[in-house]
Amino acid sequence: MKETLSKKETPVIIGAGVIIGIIAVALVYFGNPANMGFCIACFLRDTTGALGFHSAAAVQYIRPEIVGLVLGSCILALATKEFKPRGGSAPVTRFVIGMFVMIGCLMFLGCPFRMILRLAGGDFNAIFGLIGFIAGILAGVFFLKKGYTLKRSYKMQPVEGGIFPVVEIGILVLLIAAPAFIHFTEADGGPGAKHAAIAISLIAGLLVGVMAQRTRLCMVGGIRDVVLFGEWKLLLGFIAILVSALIGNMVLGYFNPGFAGQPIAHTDGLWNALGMALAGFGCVLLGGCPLRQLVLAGEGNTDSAITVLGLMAGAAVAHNFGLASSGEGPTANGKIAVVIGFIVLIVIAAVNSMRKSEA
Amino acid sequence: MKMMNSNIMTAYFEAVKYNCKRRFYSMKTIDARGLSCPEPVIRTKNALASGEKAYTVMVDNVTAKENVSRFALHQGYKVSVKEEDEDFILTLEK
Repeated sequence: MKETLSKKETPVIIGAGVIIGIIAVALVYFGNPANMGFCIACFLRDTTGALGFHSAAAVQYIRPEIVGLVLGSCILALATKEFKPRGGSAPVTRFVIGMFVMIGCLMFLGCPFRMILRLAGGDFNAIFGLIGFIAGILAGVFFLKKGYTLKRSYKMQPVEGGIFPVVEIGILVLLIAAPAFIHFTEADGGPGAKHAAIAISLIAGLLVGVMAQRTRLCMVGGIRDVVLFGEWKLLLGFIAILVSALIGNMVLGYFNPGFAGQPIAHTDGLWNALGMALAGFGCVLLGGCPLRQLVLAGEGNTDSAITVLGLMAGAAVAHNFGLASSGEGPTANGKIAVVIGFIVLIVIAAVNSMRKSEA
Repeated sequence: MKMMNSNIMTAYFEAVKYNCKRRFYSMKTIDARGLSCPEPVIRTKNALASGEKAYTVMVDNVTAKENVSRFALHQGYKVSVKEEDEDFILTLEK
């Protein structure tokens, strides 16, 4: 079967980006925290807290957006026969890298997706995050060019690939049933109390999950592919999200340009950059940003499911050890953790680049 | 007699063509099955640097198939894809 360059690909991903930007702003309108229509890191952290794995009372809420993203991807993958249970590519390494990606994100107070949404809200602190993010990606690309690989994954049993989406359904049930052992941030108790209605969040997550699966949207891949191959397709997708969310924010009066007083953000430029540099570096080593990991997990990729668990473990550790930043700025423990993170990731990257690549 | 000759001639030239292809039509194979993004494209990119006329790339998922195809098409190769069980076998030809 002959392949040709599809003229549809770029308009489709730009269209998806525009819709995703609108959905992200709409979620804030319906109750999500400011500049946080989506934040994979924050939402996994909030879910982790709700389940009791950390006790930071201000950020405990099971976010249906996460469930929606995984299930939306899963449903579309099943429908298009792209659901392929696979795994076995250095899962423990991925778990650890995931932990440090989360630590980096919580230093900046956002995942790459939220970084874009913060820029679209006029939060100029995210510019430092973006600079650091690009630097981190360049570090990852350096190792990719040296032959970095976590080796191949293998076909897994259907049940193995399906367990993670089913677990997400279970988590949704816990949110709706709200038994006493699930934590909910008190009203006015913090960002965990700010959320859209469950149905709205879930539907938003499903729609974005479907679109992200279909277009292979990935924040890290966007920049990485331009640097490595001169390929702009993914980057155009998230530029579309940025522009669309920016316009949406302006229309709704949410655009608030500046550095100081930004919602759920701090002004320490250096550590905003370093946090996202760690996240960017880790995401290149993982093969995708946190959003992409959720989508892949929905497609049956158990290595990505393990990565998501690593992100959640990282969130628990971050709040239990006092590593997460706040509006006041980074913590001393957080800075140490980020430095340790760079060392660990460099070692992991170097060790996994030392094999001769089989061409 | 003439018909028999032309059949023999056709068979002879087909055999010559086949042997020429086997000797000069080098088909370097890249096995990128199971690899994380963006390794399939990186492996393909590195292999294409040797400038041969044709390559075979094996991947096991649609995203990698799309990415390798897109990359090869941008480099001026013709791409054809065959599905084999769960895998995709791409043939890149200049």
